[in-house]
Amino acid sequence: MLDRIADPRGRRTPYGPPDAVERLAAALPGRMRDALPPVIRLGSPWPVRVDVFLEDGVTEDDVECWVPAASAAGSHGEAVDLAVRGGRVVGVRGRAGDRVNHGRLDPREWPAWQPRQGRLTRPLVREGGHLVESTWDVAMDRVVTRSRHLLAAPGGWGRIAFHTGPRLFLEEHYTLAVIGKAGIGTPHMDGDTRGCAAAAAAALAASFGTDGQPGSYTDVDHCDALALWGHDCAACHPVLWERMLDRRLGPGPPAMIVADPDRTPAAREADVHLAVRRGTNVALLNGLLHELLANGWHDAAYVAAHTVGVERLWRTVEAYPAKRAAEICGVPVARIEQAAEILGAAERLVSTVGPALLGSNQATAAACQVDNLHLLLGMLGRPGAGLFQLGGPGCDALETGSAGDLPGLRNWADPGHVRELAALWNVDPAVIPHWGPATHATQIFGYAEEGSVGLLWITASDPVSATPGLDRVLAREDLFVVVQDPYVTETALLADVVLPAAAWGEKTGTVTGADRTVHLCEKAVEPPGEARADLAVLLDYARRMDLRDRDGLPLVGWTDAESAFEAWKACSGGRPCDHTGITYDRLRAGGVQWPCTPAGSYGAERLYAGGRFATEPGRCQTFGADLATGAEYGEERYRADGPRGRAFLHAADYEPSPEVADDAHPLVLLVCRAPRLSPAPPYLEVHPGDAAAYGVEEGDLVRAESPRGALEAVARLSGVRPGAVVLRLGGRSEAEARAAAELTLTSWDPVSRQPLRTAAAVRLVRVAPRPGEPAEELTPVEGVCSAATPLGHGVAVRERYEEV
Amino acid sequence: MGRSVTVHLADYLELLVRTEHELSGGFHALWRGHPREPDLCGVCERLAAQCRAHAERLEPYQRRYRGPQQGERQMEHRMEPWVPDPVILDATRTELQRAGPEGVGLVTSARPRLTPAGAAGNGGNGGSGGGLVLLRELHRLYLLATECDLSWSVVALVARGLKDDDLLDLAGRCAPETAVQLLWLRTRMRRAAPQALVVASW
Repeated sequence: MLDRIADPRGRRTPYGPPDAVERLAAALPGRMRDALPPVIRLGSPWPVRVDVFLEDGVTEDDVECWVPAASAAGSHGEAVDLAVRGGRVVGVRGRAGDRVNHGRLDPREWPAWQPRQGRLTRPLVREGGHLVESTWDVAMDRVVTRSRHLLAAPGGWGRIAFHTGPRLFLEEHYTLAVIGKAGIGTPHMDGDTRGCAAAAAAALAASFGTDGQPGSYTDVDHCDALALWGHDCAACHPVLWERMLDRRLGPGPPAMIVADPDRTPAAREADVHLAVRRGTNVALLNGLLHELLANGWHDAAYVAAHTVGVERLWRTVEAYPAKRAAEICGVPVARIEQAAEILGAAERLVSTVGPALLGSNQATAAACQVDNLHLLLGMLGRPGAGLFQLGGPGCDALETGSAGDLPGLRNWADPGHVRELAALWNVDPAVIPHWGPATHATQIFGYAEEGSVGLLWITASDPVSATPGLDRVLAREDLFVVVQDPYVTETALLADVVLPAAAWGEKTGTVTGADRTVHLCEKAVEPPGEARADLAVLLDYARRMDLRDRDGLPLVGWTDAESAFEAWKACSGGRPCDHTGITYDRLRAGGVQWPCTPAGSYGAERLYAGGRFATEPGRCQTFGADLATGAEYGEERYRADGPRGRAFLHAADYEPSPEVADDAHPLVLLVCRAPRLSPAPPYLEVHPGDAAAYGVEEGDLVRAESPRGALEAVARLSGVRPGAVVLRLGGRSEAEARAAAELTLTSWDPVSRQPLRTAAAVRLVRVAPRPGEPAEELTPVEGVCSAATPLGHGVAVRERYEEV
Repeated sequence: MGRSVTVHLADYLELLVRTEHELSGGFHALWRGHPREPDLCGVCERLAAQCRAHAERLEPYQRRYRGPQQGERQMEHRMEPWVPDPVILDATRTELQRAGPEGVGLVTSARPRLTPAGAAGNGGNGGSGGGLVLLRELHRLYLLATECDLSWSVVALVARGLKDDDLLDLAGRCAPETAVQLLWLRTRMRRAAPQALVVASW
């Protein structure tokens, strides 16, 4: 098998940017491009290279059929074809004609498709404290009985909560959103998206009016500068990284800036690496914005015509000349000036914002500053000017309203939007929870812990393995936990009812990738045993609950994936994420980007062409919030700002957090769960170099002290990065989890309500030597963070990233 | 401009300083008292520091308007600090006592509580207490912040009357921060209220 990790440049396909005529053509709407003479090349010049991963001993000739699907490895949204032989998926191949990947595959793709241990084939119910095999009727009856019991009391809607993972299809997310928001009326719907994608979505909505990545992957073809903000592209988005590297190796390569605390592969490739101190992104970006504005390198005409708030922005960034930013961030002044010069000189800039920024101190505020950078330079809505806020997968959950806001990127504070949904679903608007944004995941678990949530339904997610201390909450007697998953996860072991779900390849549905490309994933093989598609389970629940609209008709009127997609189309119509022009037939010919109206069979390649943003009061997704506290401003103030389709330049001051290392607390503490077969947790993994500096030896009892608290654990010397200590938690002990949370829950992103469990600055103190106990071999980190684990990809990717 | 006018202003500023300190203590106590509300920590710490800074920046003006010779007399002239309406206070206390043994603290003293408010959840009973206590505490902080908000607008008026540009500038910078504090408290209350009052009371 091809091993591109060992030989990263082995099969490079360097290419140059399209010429000026092609660039002009690329800026035209799709239907006008059809009218151009054929001499003008319309597609992307990125050469096709088809990657194939097949089971050992299987050749392409042995494959009975290839079934179209989308990448299961990450949020990039590559189109793949599944090799089917003898009723099994035996391989995967990149689709040559797809606009996203041109045939390439993520190296994690094949592992993500391979079946893992512990596949669920029959429903399980808890009997006498043990999970026993059962039938669908019994299992669903229990869920429905419990739901009805809870709903019978006043405020019953607030006793049922849903948590979803990234491995659901759009149709499933939308069906769940309708069941939850129109049938039950619960505000408690969230999921793994809260872990990383929330800050990205919040920043996009704050700056541009609604969520949605403004750029297209083809912008990488056209750009002359690339800026990666806390984005270890090689690890998080390998296919996008190959596209960038191919441009860098071809003629007319783009300049590259990487802002990242670590020397990642992307940082090594960059022309300018801004090795910011962890948690100081806002200061760095304010410094860059200062340079651009002070030197007049911004596009003043664009700013005047298409943005609001440049004076306010200048008042804030005025205090961040390069010298001050450099001091805060620990980056040489010259490096910041050099980066500002590249940004100022760029004609076509592509920025990607990654998990290291979106999971760090002041996440939303920092992401908004990258938005500001593009707004000041007018780098939006034209070929080569692209912006990606790549927090993690979950576009579908956010668009359809199964997590976060209302379906169709609607604004809960806008009575018009709520009425639209009520009319669409034919329900009383009062049923739809709209007194505030949906309850965030941490709060849902909090309500479950205090006992006010009585039923928690977790679909396609394994939050227990990602959240220390959650197992104790789910084990509560009075909490009824439903887990719907293809595999026996740690969460499933604590459930009262476990519903076996079909995995990808065993069900049909659509998935949206990071540049808004919708792909169709078709059913390739039958699910094992009695496992069912998640959509079928949800439809069954709606039927058994007898959820009805105002006229007594079934609330959920669809029966399969395609009709669910049609229902979603009706919901998305007229909104920025308009899907009305997309059909399953159209998707069978290849991915389509939203928004796509029936007028043109192409989706819009880039959002905000011509500087028109979705900020009108009747269109926007949010009326804005204070970036520092999350205080909601409300409609009146929003209208007073008079955006009228212009974008917001949100200013933010840098706020230090305990995440930022200094002389007193020179090390960075990260918290991970211990791998299953590791020595008795909790323990601290310390780099041998640091250990020598602090006089710590293997097996010593050491204390990690942060400005917030302290925690004692046994030290294990291992090869983690110098300057970082990793606390490995067992997950069963409340005291441990609480101490770790105290130490490391250093910040909370108030706008996106995303917990930032990234790191804390600590110092190490040796408490006592512990003799004996030879050091055991540590399980490699990949075991916890493999892309194939069903926990939130954001989490997995972030952990991976931090461990590199 | 008579001396008594400035002494009254000094008293008024002192009142604001005290209220800001009380509000600062309240924000601090709020996050210490609710360790299970992860969002409170950062924001409350920040707002507490903000209030403290407001108070500290007001103190020079308080001295300026009191005058050096007034220092000894200040006790006699001082207005009573703001006291919550006894009826509201009693009602709050009763509710908190009903909510659980841990539910006293902020209302009776600004001392940070060491027992987590959500601790009742551990024992599997009284889970609704945390939410209700939180709501009442936010409520009270809102009243305090309103007090500050009003005072800042009065201070701005007076500063304009006295042509004290520095004080006017200070009010111009602090008043918007207090306004955001009010917005935040309102936002947070709105999020906590339905679950605490409708769902958990069942």
